[in-house]
Amino acid sequence: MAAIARWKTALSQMLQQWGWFNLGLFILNKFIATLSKGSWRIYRYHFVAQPVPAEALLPPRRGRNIEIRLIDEQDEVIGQFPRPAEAIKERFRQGAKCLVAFKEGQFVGFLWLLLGSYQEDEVRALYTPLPKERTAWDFDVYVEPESRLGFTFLRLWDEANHFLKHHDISWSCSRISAFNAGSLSAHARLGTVRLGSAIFFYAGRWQVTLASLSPYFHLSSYPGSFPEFRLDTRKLGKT
Amino acid sequence: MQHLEEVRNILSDVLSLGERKNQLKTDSILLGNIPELDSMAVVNVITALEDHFGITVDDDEISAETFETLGSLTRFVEQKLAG
Repeated sequence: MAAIARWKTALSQMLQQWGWFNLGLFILNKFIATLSKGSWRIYRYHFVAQPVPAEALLPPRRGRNIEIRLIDEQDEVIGQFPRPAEAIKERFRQGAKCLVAFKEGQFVGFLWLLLGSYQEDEVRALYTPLPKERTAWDFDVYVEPESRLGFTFLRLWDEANHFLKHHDISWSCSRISAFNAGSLSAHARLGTVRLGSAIFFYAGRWQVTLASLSPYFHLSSYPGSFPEFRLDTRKLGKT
Repeated sequence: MQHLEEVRNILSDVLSLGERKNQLKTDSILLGNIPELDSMAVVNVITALEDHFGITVDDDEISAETFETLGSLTRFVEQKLAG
């Protein structure tokens, strides 16, 4: 009985945070992924743009004990990243920049930026933020569980914004899973604007993409075939 | 806890809890139970508490235990006021 009550509470919270559509997709994904042993999957992403603010997010006296460093692919701290080594290698190959947070010398988080197009590593898709000289791509912001209440997240973003301003970037685009309410609300607090969304349905080697922005529909049967999403921030104005 | 009501009001204002404010009791779980209470909101809550009570909170004093319940947050404020 207690387990049923916990399930009901969890479902009710998910419904409140995600809405019926996303909850239905989430349940369907769990169902077909289990039946197909993982070869059939559903992803839903929201594409958002976040302004690079003129002011720091943290008050000056906060987060001073958190050091942020821009690392290269030879840095030993990469061994502590909770990500596959191959995925990290591929990010650097694409030209991504990695900001790493340290507290008292200990690794506590990272944030990735890319000035240019990003080849997604979860589904087959290419994201191109536009205009290229004013818009970046940010992805995979991670903070160690014990540091999530502190200022690591904001220190990472303050340093990222400093980096972006230095490169004359006004907006940073990203994609957020519709099933990740925490990330959606964190981004919303950073002032994100929604640009569209896409659903990726995987069935074996096939990927069907349905999106609210161009190319709207795409069918892929091999890794080299993917939709390109051009995420244009020109209509969003200056920050 | 004589400052419970004030801390509840500050939390409610900063997090825009609306009607949910009335459900906040001394032992109400905050972290993990109020989706609005993320790391950005924590900064705003701490700043509001500092301004309202005239206290100073160091980074190292901000912990999951402090923000666990409305009661633990109020106890923290009252310890700062007593100190």
